[in-house]
Amino acid sequence: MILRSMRSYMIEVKANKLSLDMSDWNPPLLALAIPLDIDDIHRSIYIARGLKIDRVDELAIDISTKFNPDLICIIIPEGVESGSFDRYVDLSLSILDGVGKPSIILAADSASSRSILEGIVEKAGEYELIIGPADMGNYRTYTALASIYTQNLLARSTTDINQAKQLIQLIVDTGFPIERITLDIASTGLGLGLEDTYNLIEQAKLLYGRGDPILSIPIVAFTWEAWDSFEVYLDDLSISRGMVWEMITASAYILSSVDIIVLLDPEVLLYARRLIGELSRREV
Amino acid sequence: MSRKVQPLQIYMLLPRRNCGRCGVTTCLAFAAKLTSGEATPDLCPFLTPQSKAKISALIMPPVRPIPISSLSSTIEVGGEEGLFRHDGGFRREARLAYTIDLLSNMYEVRSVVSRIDSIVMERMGLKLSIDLYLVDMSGVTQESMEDRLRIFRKYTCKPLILKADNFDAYLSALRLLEGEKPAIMIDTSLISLEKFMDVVSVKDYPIVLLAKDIDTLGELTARIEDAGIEKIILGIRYHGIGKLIRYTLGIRKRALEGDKRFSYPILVDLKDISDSYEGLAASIASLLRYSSIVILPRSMSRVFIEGLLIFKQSIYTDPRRPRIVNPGIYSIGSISRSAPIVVTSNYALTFDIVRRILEASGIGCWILVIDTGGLSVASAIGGGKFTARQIAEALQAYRDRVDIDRVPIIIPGLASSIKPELETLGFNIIVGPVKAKDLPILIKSLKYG
Repeated sequence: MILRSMRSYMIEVKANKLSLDMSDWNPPLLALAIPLDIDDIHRSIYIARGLKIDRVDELAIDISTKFNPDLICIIIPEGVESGSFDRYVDLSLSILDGVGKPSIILAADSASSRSILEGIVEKAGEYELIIGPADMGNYRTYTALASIYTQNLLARSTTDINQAKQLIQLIVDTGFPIERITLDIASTGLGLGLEDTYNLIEQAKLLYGRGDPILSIPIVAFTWEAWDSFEVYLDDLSISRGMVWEMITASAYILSSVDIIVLLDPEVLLYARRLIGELSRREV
Repeated sequence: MSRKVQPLQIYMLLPRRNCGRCGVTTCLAFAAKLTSGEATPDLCPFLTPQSKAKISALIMPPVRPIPISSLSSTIEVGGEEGLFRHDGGFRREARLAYTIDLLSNMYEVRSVVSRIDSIVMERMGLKLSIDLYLVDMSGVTQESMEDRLRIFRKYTCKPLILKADNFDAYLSALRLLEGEKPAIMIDTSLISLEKFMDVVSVKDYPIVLLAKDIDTLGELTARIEDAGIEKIILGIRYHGIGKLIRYTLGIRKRALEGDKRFSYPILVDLKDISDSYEGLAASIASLLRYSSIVILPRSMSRVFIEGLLIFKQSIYTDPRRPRIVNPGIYSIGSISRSAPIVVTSNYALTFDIVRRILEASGIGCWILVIDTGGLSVASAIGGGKFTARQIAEALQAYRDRVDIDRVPIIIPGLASSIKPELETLGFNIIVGPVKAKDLPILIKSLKYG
């Protein structure tokens, strides 16, 4: 799968087979989430990392410059008033242009959020993005959108390998090429069922290694739910704890042979990059 | 790659009386339980010692279980039999250990023990904490060692791993810890292994062999096995995360291939990692790549340890047996017949998250747990196990305790599609948030009662 930004910055995403010793392994691409609406948790994280938060497009450029993620992942909020539609589309395009990196764009589960995604994709003709998430309920809409504008698709399944395969098959049955699909198997964070997603990625990568063509697609894991874990807010150490929870989540995904990891805290990106470097090092 | 013993192989060695004394009705069912590790041969009162030995050998997992005990508790490490978590390869929980330097000032020792023992995370009905201590007696004089160890033992009763730079220190420590079975960690670059082989009393303790690579470890294991030592733990020194997982994977693969020299649990010694982040990454890698004991870095702070405790609990659950809570209705806080009902699945993790969030919010409400066979809400909906009919039937069973016709009944956001059907049955249905953390805001906004 090829992802491309406006400046012809191109990146290839390759699907890994399961590698327990991380040999014969494509290190995962690391993406940073850019939420178009910044909530209290995001604000606290960005302030703690010394980032400017007055404007989201400036924040995105600041994050990209300082932390250099492979990709960015724009998150469209759920409840958007109709009058704000154009503002969110323009903001997203401004981020895509300003950052100049291949991107994932995710809508929330609402019609207004999906409309904004459609607006962005319509105007982002030269980008090769990943858009989504397509699930059992809405995959026809997303598949049509990705087909019309020749974009890649993120399919999101429940925590069940057979349901994940079924979703991919349904998308492929519409005529959408499997080479342009990525999969998120309900990834979550530490304390919220990380072990179930780890299992499923391990299983999917093993099955791909054994020749299952449906699972030959890149798998994407999102770590930000680690910040939703109850234990993160036990006391006033929530920023440290959230960071550690997200680091643990990212570590598990890296060791599961996942292909793209979308992180929230830029500090976790530095940690993940270092771990990938350690795992990639080969003694002579 | 994992060993597969057929129940019929075991059945042929059983008395075949179908007496039921083992707790199951037939010998064949007992054989199946023995094969899956859910029963032990001791449960059969009619087994001959010879048959018992044969069965024990047949069902012995490729990684032998090794006990380490204090006077008050025993932990068992090892007992694993696979490579992959999704097919049950992580059967027996790994253990986290923290290092105590006995050479330190005893006030400092007490302070470290107090700090480490105070790290307790409550989750899924369990209290999670550090499992054992590595007591490093290196550099301590023989005279003061016994006093220091005696004082230290008053601070904590957790099982121990002992490490020393001379043989006599071990003997003194073992005398002092009479009745306990601590593990003995031997650095063969400092102490001759032969000394341990010659002392019969030492042979009954688990021996941790520390080596720099797998080949050296294999040689050491073969030597002490020949001397009759059977409780062995394979210790790996840390030389980077990449090397660490290649070694631990190599050991596990050899154990599964039947190489007896590697059929022991793995201990990974990370205590000297000074960088917290590297320590965290190495700990996660150790837990995901077959280490039964992880000696945590001394540099590791409370928050890092808390995260690891939760990670360890999460990763060491059997994915083939979903953790479930009993379906039914549970009260949270101060409740009445008119308190709202939050509906969720009987996947233990989901229930635990919902329960704790509601408890912390101080809201009085009911949680109605639906039998989804241990599936999460999302998976249960997809699999047709979280339906309007199930919820309606479950609600009817609690009509005497809750005013089910009037109170708000909050269904998970992911289950919004079943709202209309429940409403036609006369219930006051509210579609809740997708994430449990948003429940308190929703409930506080409702007018009821």
